[in-house]
Amino acid sequence: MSVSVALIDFPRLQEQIAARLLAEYNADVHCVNHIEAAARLDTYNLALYFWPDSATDAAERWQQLRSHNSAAGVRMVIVTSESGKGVVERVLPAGMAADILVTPLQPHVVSRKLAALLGFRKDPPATRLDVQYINPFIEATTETFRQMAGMDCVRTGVSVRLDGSTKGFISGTMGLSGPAEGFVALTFEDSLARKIVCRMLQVQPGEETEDDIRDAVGELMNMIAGRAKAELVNTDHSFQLSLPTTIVGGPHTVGKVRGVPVMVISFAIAESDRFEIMVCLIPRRK
Amino acid sequence: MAILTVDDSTTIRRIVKRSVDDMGLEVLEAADGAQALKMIEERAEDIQLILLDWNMPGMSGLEVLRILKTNPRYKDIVVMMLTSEADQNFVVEALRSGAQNYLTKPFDAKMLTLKIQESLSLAQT
Repeated sequence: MSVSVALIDFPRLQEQIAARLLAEYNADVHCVNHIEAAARLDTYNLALYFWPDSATDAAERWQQLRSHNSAAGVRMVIVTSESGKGVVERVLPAGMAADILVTPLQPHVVSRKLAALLGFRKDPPATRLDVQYINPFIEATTETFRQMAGMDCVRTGVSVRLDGSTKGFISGTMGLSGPAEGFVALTFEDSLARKIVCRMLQVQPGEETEDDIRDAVGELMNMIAGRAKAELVNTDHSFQLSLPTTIVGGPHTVGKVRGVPVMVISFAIAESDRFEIMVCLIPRRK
Repeated sequence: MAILTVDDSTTIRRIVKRSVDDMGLEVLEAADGAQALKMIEERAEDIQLILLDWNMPGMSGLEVLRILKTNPRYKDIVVMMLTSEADQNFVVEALRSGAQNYLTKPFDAKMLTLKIQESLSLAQT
């Protein structure tokens, strides 16, 4: 059974390092800010809070998180630099954090702490996960939505899943081959897919057909993959495009590559309109 | 006069049609390379511009482009690639094969109109 871990207020680089380390434990990793985390702390087994050296309100944010109703029962760990650790020990009463992890995060230290806090061990066969390759997909997604539908979407989190299963209703998906192989998928709830398609085709809500939705979701996937592909050319993660396919009816599974975790990037267009991109891409020569 | 849009996505064909409708040109549509070549054979004299996708079922856009540019009857028809292949190597390959213009998806509606107008002006010279 996987363990749910929140990375709260992590800067991008630290987030990638932590996500990569945790992926080796098959942890379900959620990258969130402190406001999002506060509302659902009780859904995590472990919460890692990033305490930056420079932020004057780091202690205040921590106290807010710690005092939230949903914090009861969740183990909360502070991640900070060596100098940040000194600050934490000065300003926080003893026992306010289950532990403090000092950056740069070292695999053997993380391993020891996770074993002590949650009792979980590393699964031996996991393939090493490089998460840098998801950034071109994030940029491609925001740009595609902005240009094709006039919609601004923001990344709200990144997590790791063991396969390409989704609770969404419709997915555009594409197999990737070449120097790296795997798959990518774009998944929406039915209502959001309809909203986007109406914007793209400039038709009134209700005028869109099922064929319109299938085609547009597949084409969005195609554009996102194409743009990300151009950014990844000449890297270990370069790939060739294939024709997109669309899966309708949820929940469903878009794909699985044995032993390779799927990176799940969550996006929001508005408060209630959320969707996700799943990327599973592994260099063949590794 | 007409513009031919060749793309397996109906979404893209509709977006192109919407952009071109205001220009007073007829819009012809093909969902793959074979359909496109058939349509070109029938309407070569009317077609001023072809908007061509790269990745389609069956024949690729590049194959269609090479067929057109090696046929004396069709070689002067202006071709603009409209594709999600944004890699510079693909752009160079298409231009070397005779495409006159290249626009990558995703695209802004204004940019699409601009590129179509630019390509049409090439067709008139």
